[in-house]
Amino acid sequence: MRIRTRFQEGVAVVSIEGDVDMYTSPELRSALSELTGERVPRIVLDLGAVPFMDSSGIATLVQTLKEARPYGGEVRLAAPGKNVLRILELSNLMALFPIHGSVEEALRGEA
Amino acid sequence: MRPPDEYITLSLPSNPKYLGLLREVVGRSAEIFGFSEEEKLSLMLAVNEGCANIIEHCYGRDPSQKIDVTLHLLPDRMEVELRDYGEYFEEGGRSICDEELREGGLGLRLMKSVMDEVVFRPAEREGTLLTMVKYRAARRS
Repeated sequence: MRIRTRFQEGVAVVSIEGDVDMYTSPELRSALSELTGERVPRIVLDLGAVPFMDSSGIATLVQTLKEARPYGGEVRLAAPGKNVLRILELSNLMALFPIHGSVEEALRGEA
Repeated sequence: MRPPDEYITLSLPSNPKYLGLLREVVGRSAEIFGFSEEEKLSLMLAVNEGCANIIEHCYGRDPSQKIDVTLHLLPDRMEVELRDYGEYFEEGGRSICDEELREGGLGLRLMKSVMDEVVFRPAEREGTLLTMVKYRAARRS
């Protein structure tokens, strides 16, 4: 898995490439905790290159949201493929995260 | 004449770095067995979560232990067996602390939501045998 973080207009765009599972999720959790630790107001997770995510990946997303909410931070998901979408659905997380078709839409706040 | 049952067996270390390899084997097997893309993801997710539970709860993340995986192809379904050699894992058992239960609980819920049957039972001598069954939609009556 590869993680790249860039900042655009104060928004942290985190691009993830590869499977997010029990092996790789600690690295993602650490990268995202760094952002919430700095109280970054909006984090966009680009999931376009994530073919698979398991429950540890889901737990990482929820943890990030839990860390961001107390300071008014926001976590948006962008471009999830059908596998990741299905796992989000199965985990009942669709209502918890704003989900956008692309990073650009997430940056603009469009559904 | 009914074709003979086919088995694919795999024994892997209890190290999370092998979960990707296991998913590939399960995914390719599902394709060969004629499962749909959705059923393939279900099988990959369930086997992944089952093994992750074993690594977390039965072996306490000790990567030097062993997990035996058997994929059993039957005419209408795939039966997956995951066998560990740790302590018997009982769903909701007292040996699981709350924090583990929260994350493990999601894994179990995912397994149960994508598979047709999920059964835990003590294995012979030691450990747990987890059996999960997925029926092929085209043949499901």
